[in-house]
Amino acid sequence: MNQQAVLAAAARQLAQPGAPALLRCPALEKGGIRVFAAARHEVVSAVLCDEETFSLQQYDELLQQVLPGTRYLVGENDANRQVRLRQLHAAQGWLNARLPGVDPKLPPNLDPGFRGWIAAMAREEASGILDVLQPRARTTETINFVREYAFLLAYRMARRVLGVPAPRTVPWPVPLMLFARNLIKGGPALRRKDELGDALSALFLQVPLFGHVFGTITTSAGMLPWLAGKTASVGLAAIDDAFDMPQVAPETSLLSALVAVEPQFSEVADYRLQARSVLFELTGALVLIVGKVLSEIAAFSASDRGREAGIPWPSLVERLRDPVLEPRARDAIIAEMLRLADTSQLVRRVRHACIWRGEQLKAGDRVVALVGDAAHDEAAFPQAHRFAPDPARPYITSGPLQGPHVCYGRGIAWTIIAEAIAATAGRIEPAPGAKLGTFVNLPDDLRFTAIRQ
Amino acid sequence: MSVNQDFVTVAIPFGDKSEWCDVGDIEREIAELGNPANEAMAKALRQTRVVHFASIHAIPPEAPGARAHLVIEATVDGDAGRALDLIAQHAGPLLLPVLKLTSGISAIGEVLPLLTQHAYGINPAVFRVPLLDRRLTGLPFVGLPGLGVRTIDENREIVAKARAIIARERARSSLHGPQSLFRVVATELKGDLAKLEDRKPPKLAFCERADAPWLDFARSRWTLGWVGKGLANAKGLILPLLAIGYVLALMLGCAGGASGFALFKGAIFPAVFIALLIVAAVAWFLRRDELANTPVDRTPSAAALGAMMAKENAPGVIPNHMVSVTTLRKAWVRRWTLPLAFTAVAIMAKIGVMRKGFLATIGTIHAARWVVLPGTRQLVFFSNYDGSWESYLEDFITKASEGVTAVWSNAEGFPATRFLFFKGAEDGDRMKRYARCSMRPTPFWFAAHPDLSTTAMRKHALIVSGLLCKDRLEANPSDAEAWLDLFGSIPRPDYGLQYEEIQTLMFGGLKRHPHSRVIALNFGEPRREGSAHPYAHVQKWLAGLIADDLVAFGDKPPQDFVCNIAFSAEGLRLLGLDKELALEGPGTEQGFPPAFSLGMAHASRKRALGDPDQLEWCDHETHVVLLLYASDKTSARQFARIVADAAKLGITEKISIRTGLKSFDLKSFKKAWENSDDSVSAPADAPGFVHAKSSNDDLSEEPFGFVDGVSQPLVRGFPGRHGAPDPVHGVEPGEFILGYTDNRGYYPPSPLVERKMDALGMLPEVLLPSPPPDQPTQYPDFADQGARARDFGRNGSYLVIRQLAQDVDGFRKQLDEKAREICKQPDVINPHNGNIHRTREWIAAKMLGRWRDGSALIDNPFHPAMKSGVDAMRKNDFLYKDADPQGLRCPFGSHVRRTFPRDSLAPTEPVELSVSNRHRLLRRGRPYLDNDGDTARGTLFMAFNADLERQFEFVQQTWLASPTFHGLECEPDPFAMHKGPSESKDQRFTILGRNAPLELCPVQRYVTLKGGGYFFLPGRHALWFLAGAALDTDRLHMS
Repeated sequence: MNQQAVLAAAARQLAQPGAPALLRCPALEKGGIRVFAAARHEVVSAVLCDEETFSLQQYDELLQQVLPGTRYLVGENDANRQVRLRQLHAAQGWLNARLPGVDPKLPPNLDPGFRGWIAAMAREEASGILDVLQPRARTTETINFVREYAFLLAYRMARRVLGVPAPRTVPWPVPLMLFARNLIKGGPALRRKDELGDALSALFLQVPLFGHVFGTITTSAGMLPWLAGKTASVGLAAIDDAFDMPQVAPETSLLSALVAVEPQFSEVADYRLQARSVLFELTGALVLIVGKVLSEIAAFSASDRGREAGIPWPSLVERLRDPVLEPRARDAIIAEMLRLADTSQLVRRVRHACIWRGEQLKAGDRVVALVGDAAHDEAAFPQAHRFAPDPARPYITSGPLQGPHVCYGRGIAWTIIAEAIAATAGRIEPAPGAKLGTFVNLPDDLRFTAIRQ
Repeated sequence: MSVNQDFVTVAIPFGDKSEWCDVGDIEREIAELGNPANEAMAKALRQTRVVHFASIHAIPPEAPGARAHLVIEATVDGDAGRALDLIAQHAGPLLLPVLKLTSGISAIGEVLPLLTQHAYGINPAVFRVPLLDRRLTGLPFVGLPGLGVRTIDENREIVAKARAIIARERARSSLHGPQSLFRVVATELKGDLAKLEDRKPPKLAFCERADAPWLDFARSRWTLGWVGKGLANAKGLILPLLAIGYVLALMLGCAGGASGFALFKGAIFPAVFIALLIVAAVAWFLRRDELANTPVDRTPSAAALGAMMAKENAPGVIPNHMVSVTTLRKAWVRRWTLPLAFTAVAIMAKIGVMRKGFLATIGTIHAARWVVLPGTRQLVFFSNYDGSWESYLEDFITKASEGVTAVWSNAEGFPATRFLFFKGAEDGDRMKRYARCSMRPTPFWFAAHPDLSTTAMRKHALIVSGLLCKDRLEANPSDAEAWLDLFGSIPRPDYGLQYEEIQTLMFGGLKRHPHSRVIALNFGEPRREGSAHPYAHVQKWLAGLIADDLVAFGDKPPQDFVCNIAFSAEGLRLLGLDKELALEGPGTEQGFPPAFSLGMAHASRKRALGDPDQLEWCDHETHVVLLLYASDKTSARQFARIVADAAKLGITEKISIRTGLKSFDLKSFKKAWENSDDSVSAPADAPGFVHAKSSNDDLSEEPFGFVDGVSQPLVRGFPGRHGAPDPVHGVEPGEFILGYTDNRGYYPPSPLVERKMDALGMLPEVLLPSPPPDQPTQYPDFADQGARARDFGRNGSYLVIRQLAQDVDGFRKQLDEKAREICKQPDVINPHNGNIHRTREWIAAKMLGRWRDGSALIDNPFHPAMKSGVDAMRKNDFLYKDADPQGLRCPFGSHVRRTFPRDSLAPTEPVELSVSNRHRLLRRGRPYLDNDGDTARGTLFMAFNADLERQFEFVQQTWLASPTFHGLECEPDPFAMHKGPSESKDQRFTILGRNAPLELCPVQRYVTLKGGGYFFLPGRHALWFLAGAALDTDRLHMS
């Protein structure tokens, strides 16, 4: 039984009435490290929020294993993370000061002015991509929504928001992965040309590392760490290059902002290293996660599941196009869609030996928080399979509801996803029987067709 | 300094030839350089000191499979290669981020090699050397040829200083004339001018003389001559075509078995034939492709339009930039027709059908270029132009639609065309939509002089050119005035008059000065008074008038009092111009015309004019006349003082004629008409004279009771409505004022002074030089220098004065008799038969050609309009050919039809109106009064003309007095002809009707010539000259 099957079985058991909060999964244990699973919403939420008990050290160590010195904000809240957060806030503040309609009293990443700016960019980029896809209405050639829209748009947004281009040359595993993908998957081959090629490169540079960091429950060994280091180091080098010539980055990019606020951090000796980590993490988040969830939402909505949930694709597009839609309601729609399509999981490490919810835990035990299952917990989301957006719902797909690890970029991601979906109105639509194809556990193909004007 | 401008065009390909080539990042990166350029980039490009304009664009690929291009274009001074070095040197670091994105370079040292590698020249030629000629197909256009960046800067600086000096001097003294003002500026700016690198007056490309080819082309359009000139300059097109034809003919000859010399000789004619066949084939294929074109008539994207317009019309920036990208049609013939269009435009510019720097007549383009990007079918148009895009495109549509069509019609989707040049852009709205759809926002744009329009740059260049031509401008008020005009606007009016040199009476009848007097003076005995001049007392008197600024010049009369002065031939003789007015000998080189020299009282003139033998006064014994005007009685008291001052110096009054203006009483006239009140027109003495108020703008009434002065020529260049072109009454200033071109485009002969007059203490140098062969044009060429004779006549005019007594009672009696006579007859012509009063008025109107209120019989054949004389003036644009060819309304013999027959004399002759307009008089007469000033006794007729014989004497003799005018018999003017030797007893007046003419006979004359003469009204400098040594030159800014 593979890892996912074990976790699925654990989730089913945890959902039973009277089930414990945590369920040990011996099948996943390795090197004497015990593994527990959490699947109920209130348990998962508690695990994610209780950082006194459950640490994020796992991610720091996995990153250190392949990219020494590089850290994610999804990691221990140590002094360096505090520096990175300060950098992010300072840069965001610098950026917001150059944007119209920004309210300095609000958290910079959630300010409506900032999100409006992101939305305008997303609309512009989505429109540009759809302009290229539109002529296919004449040839009836299908569109790969995942590659030619979701990941491409995510890359373009990352390029503009962060200011780091894809490297001109990529290590050989990337073309090899692409070759493998083209060999395995049917349909038109993907070519590493122009923006689509850049999007693929940027994505493939991140995929092994994400697999290594977020797919590991206990330890990672073998080819994956090597591959992750090989590819991710090139992504980091691209950021170093961008720092060396910041003029190339858009004036309103995070990179430009980080360069501009550097004088404020004279006490930070490794400013560039920390800033690089920030940009690297956000690049991954935008290029990979936004593209991935956009594809998954589209796939869910275009599928029977979407129809059964009461949110088929046309209905989703129409809802998001509503010009009088409140921003909170719009966020709720995206959060609800993320919830419905969610299959994610997060790993936490037990900080100290303790008894938690009746379970004796040892330091170093791993707890797998099955966020996707928690998102379908009827106790938290009555009629969990139905689409029922509500800002008051306790959505955890984008991370814990409170604590230092509340997702910084969720506002950006939700805005991009909402605009990306709304922009397709009248331009593209799911092909009949469209089904999400995957490659290395990531969305790879979802057939759409262009609508004849 | 004149500098050649060149075009930098760098086209760097980028992208992987896929449909996913997104130029967005690169465009945004370019946009960070700013439009208008940000401070750093603007500073860098300014430091090059050669860049006029620069822009950078990311042009997307025309289709998947092609590459996108980063295009850097700049208009530069000097060689493009050198300019590229300077651009890379100064702006390289700023360009590097963009170049890194497109080409991956990351070092400054790589910038110049990259730019050089992808830099291209532009070549409009149809036939090119394959492979070797890597220039792009295209056409460059410079709007300001010869004007370099530094020159424009220097010019602006000098002009700003000049403007300040002029403002200061204007405030300091009201006595400045154009020359003195210019002199002050030129003197003060001597140091600045000395700093200029090239102080030789530049030959500005856009300047012109009257023989400029583009002016000729504007008149003639495409004549055979122009076509021939064009073909002669199309050697690069024709010779290769013939060569192709020749080679083909040789091949055919060889195939046919011919050889040797006979083959080469025999191939000549077939070569021409084959060349023509090629041309025909190209035309046929072109037409076929035109018909295959589907015009794209699409509304431009609102978002795209918004993005474009967000970059246009930046605050404080006068020029704008546009870039349009279209795709050439696939047909092979377009590979020929596009360069053919470029070649045609280039040839037109070369042969001079367009003013240098102008496209057709569009002068708002700073620099523009068409280019086809290398290895693509993308036709890109870049332009830096003044004003809004809308006005720019409208200019193209209305003024250069053929040229635009010829180029743009080679692209996909252009509005339907015909044979390359026709239709297409004529459909203006669709053309604009097409243009907007093809345009992209300009992400980066630099203008070296964002605050200057092409017009301003040309103006500045002309102003500096004028300062460099100091000697010429100082000597010549028309040039100095043209130079001062440049501080306003160009094109300056090419009929600009030297207002301040021309006496005020020329410009209008001084209606706001109703109290007036004409005083004829005699110089008396010679009085040297220690001077070399025998009439030094007269010079002293003149100098006093000048010094006191009593003689009014210009179009703005002083508020209370106006004094103008005119001299008889005798007066001028006494003042020293005896040789120019010689009555003996073979005639002078260029003196006064004999009619003036002889005077009106000479037997020869009397004969021509039909004047009586005896006159109460004439120009023989009168030397000078003062024309005095005052707004009220109080101001009129100055008249006596002036005469008294003259008398003190021994200048005596010969005759003093009191004149005035009386308003026409429309109310009384209307009332009398409605009530048939005889008192208005019944026989009676002349009614009492009431001076019009100075605030009254109505026309005045002459003693017979008619509104006077309705039909006056409108002199081009005079202020007010005179400036507007008038198809009937518009005449050139040279018809009345010497020194300006007349209706035929030539200068009327003007008396010159070509001798030294030191013996009399008079300096001909004070006089203005005679006008140059060309008057200053819209874009005056100051650099055209040459010494010319001193022109006494310049800005002067010949004045005819005739004192005509009018027997009002006699005139009314005659009307009464004739009315009663007619009313006895059952005449169908008279619309008022049975009504004596109205019949009298009707006859009077027929004799004059207008009713008493001035309304024309043409429009009001039966009743007066009962409107003011001003209204009659507004409705004075009729032509007899159309309105009354048979004289049924306005009789052929009526006064107005005689004095200005318009097109009546030869209705089928298209130029007849212009013939009539060669005989116009600028009338300034007024009723003259008895000594008490209570009664008008007649009219003091005064009229200006440039040629006494052609104008006044012709009108008097040939039209007014002629009994055979217009084919009539025994019918001289029934209204104004004076009693004289030519009067006959059977003089008649014919009123034509539908059935038979109504003949009034005999018709008596009630006008008597009492006196008069020919005088010369001098310009300001001529008056100064006459004052001789008595004049204080310092005070008049003459030194």
